[in-house]
Amino acid sequence: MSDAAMVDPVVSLHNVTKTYIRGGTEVSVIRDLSFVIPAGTFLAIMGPSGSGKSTLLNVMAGIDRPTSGSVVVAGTRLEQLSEGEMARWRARHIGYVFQTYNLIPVLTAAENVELPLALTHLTRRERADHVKTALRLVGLADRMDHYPRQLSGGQEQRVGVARAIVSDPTMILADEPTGNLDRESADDILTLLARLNRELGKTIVMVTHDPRAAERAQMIRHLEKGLLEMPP
Amino acid sequence: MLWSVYSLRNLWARRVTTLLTLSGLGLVVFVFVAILMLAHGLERTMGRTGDPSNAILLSKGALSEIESSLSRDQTGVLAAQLDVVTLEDHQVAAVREIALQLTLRKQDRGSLASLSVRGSSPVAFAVRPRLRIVQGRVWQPGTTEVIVGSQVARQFPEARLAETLRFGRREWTVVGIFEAEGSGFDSEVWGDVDQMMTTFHRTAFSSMTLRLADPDGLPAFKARLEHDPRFKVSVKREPEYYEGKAEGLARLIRVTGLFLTVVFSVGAILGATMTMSASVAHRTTEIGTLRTLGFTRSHILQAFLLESILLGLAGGLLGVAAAALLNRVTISTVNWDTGAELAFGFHLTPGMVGEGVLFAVFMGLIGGLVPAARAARLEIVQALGERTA
Ligand SMILES: Nc1ncnc2c1ncn2[C@@H]1O[C@H](COP(=O)(O)OP(=O)(O)OP(=O)(O)O)[C@@H](O)[C@H]1O
Ligand SMILES: [Mg+2]
Repeated sequence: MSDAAMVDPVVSLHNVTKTYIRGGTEVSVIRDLSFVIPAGTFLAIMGPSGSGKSTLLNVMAGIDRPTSGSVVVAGTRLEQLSEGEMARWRARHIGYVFQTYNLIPVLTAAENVELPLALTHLTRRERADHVKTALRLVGLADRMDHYPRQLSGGQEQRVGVARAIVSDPTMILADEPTGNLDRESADDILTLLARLNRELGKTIVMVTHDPRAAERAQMIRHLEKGLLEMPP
Repeated sequence: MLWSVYSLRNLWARRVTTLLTLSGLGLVVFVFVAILMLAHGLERTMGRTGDPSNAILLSKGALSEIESSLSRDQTGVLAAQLDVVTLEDHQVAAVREIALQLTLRKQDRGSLASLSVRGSSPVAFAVRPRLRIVQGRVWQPGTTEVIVGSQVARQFPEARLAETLRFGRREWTVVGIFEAEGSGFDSEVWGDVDQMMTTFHRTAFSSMTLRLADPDGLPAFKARLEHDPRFKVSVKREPEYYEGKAEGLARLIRVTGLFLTVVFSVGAILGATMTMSASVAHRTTEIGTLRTLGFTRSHILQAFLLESILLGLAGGLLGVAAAALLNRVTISTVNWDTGAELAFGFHLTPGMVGEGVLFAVFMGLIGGLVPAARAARLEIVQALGERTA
């Protein structure tokens, strides 16, 4: 990690804990976790099922709140934000890629990608331009008017990536983005993410089970029982 | 823009359910509007009966002609008032009449029907200049000839020129058909007052209708007669009297109709609620996704409310369109006050279109409220966790 990156982290967590009450007993999913992610990093988080990877990602994405500790992402202390402010903050700073793509079935590829722009003040024309650029970037400019059911899983996930980047967010968070894909489509998505990181300088945090996927990242962290372990 | 596309496409994606819900909402609106049309049609028909220049005199306390009784002596003095128009032949424009409700067997199906019969005299046509004989002629005084209103002619096959009607154990020959501009008179049979009084053993008249020289003078005329101790009469402007008679029935139609509508609307609202609940349940992951993208709880609430409002709007248009098909359809019913058969039509006004659509939108909104609120209350992580894929 370079010094410059240490000075300007996109994510910094301090003593973050997340506990659930299950069957009367407290279960810690994340325990006293502190770390930083420098801007421009492509980080992979690995770990066994139930180790809290998704929970951690969701805390960074501002869609889940930690039980205690502080989370600073893109210069904002998330615990200070109200729910409405958090939503606006997410629209501005977070691009989220889902394992199950989560495209809206009644909207076309272009409309799905346009969705986050409905929360901006861009004109109709600007929105159309952004959508086209994003779809071109993922290689689906010719599938604009297709509905999700008319696309393959790999194509759907590429639309998912286009939707995540169309509003030019500070950071892209991906929860097992290749988990439902075959090898070839998975490679396409990983190549795409690596390119977004390299060429556009996007900070990317990707949760994955797959060691081959993790290898495409610059940095791998393992989460074991709520604790991050440094790679050997 | 994208938001309404989203709502519309979701409705279309579930088109079978959408259509069922629409029919439910549409049916309620149809009933609602049809009832308003009916009540309005009735009021129109009755409101057109009578002439604003005329005053109708009944015995004091009588609400309708059937209950009223005016003696021959009284009517003579009453007709001699200076306020009454004098006709070219020096006759006074005053007509003394008896009104009867009869039940008779229709010749075609043998079914029982009720009939309004009026014993009158030809001066009635001078008192009510809007009445026209469209076929045949007026009856000859002193005979058992009768003329029938256009609605009677339509409903009774035997009410035709040269045919005979049987009532009061006598035969009455139809010599004319008259039209009264769609008013209640169209549903009556008219004949010679003296013949009718003899036949039905009456010694008193039911009413007397006078044509006033100065229609604006009616309030003064009314006050004078009603306070004169020699008479025991009540005076009303003729159209007001007939409107008053329609009021009871119109109100009954409205109250019954609104009661029905409210009962039905509960069903339609529940239908909309079920439809929207299923939609929310089916789209839980989608809601989580939208929230992740930065849409707020209020956006989610709006999207689902918009959807149910659109559902209501479409149902309303459907119902109003169906009701519009009834426009000007004429039905015949029994007048509650008099028991007489009365023909009147469904009548649609722009106001009713608005009320019907608004009512449907309201039902959609109410039906969508609970599911939309539930959708908005979902926590993002929980919503995303419910993988339906
Ligand atoms: N709402 C909740 N209530 C109780 N326990 C929960 C809740 N959400 C998550 N957990 C628990 O927290 C733990 C971590 O969950 P998380 O989804 O973060 O794991 P993960 O590392 O992403 O696992 P996987 O690889 O299977 O996706 C799990 O044991 C899970 O059962
Ligand atoms: Mg997970």
